[in-house]
Amino acid sequence: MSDNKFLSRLKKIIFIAIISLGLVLLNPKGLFNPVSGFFITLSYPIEKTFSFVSFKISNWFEFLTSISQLKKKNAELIKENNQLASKVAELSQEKKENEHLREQLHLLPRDKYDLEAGFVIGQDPQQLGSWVMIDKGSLQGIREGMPVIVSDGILVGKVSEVHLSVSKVNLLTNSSTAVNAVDLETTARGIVSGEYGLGIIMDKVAQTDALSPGDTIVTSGLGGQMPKGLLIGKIQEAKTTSDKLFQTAIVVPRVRYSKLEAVFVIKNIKAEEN
Amino acid sequence: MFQKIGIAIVILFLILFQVSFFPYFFVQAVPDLPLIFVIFLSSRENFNVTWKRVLLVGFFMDVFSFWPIGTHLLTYSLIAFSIGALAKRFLVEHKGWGFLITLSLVVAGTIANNLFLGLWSQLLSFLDREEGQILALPFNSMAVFYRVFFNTVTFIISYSLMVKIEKIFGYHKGSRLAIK
Repeated sequence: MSDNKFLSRLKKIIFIAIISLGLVLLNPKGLFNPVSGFFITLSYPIEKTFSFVSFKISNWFEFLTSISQLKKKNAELIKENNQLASKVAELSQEKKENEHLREQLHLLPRDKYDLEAGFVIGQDPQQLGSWVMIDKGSLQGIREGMPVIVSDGILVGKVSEVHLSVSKVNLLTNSSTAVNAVDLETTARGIVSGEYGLGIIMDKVAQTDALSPGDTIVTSGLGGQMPKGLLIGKIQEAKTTSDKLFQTAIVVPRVRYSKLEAVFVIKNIKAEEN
Repeated sequence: MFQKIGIAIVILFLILFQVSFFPYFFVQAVPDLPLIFVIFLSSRENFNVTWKRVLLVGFFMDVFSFWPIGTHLLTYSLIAFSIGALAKRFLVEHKGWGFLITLSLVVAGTIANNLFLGLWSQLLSFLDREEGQILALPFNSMAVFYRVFFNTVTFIISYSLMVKIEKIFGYHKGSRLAIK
């Protein structure tokens, strides 16, 4: 009797394993996209509510933990404020230089993008920093491959999957994301990709090019829909690959991906339309 | 009917909680609520009773965490099957140690799930389907350690809640001795 029951369970698990493997193999054909889309669209309001509440609560906790450090922080801020005041004068000069550089490098001014604002409503629970889910989809004109930035033109990732009102954005820290990038100071070119949700590396940089810690990395605009001049981060460390063919650099992103709340999808570059 | 719809809603909320609520609070690893629920179910009932609910958890997990549909169906089913067999062996013999045994099953299930997903994602990215839409999970021992820790704590905290849910929906048929 007991053996029969075990046999029936064994048959069931073998059957499920075969069906599951079959389903995984059928996935690349996008066969289940309508099914997934249906459930994702259906639960979109709940997800939005959960993420909103969660974000507010986590911010509140962060605020609570920061209260004890407020006095120290205040003193630091006063000091920083004084330093910043002196830097303002310096920066006005640099602004002119920046505009000049922008012209020289043919970088697009940020107001030239056709942006779609979206809120983050979900994140990868398996590997933080891998992807985020945003509350905009094909209904708002989002398409696969579109770059995603935060307010100041800082690139955070690319749209990788689109549903009716929800999209999945692969972050730069995702190993499947690859973006052509350039060192703003030395014009060294390479490919920026993620390291399993843990960080960003700039790879395939020729040995003849120069990479230095502190250099600013921006998108080069080569290939796909990625505009030129979106800020990626700063180089922390540069080294030669083990095969001595290329150089790689660890790039520190400008934003904390785990705390993303609002992002902007670049749907189009207005200047290109005109 | 009410029981089935109720369970489906609970499972859906569990997954949405996992994807849209938890990630904001954890830096190293997010507790795996659906997996904990699967282990809880499997330790209470045999696989013949739980398999439909396990499949539903796996399906929703695949949909909302953008894995190819079938991945969590497979991993959760294998875990449920193994946990069911182990629980039958140990929980019946050592009734008094029920909670601790289930806790050990949570640890074992978490490690098995991470290993399976790690191998599976490596395989999928090796096959390079659709330019590697799937993130190849690294075999990061620290991440596994954190997940085991968070899952254990979450299981302890949510255990009584899961028992209450079980009572509300009355799905526990008592095919295995209740954990004491």
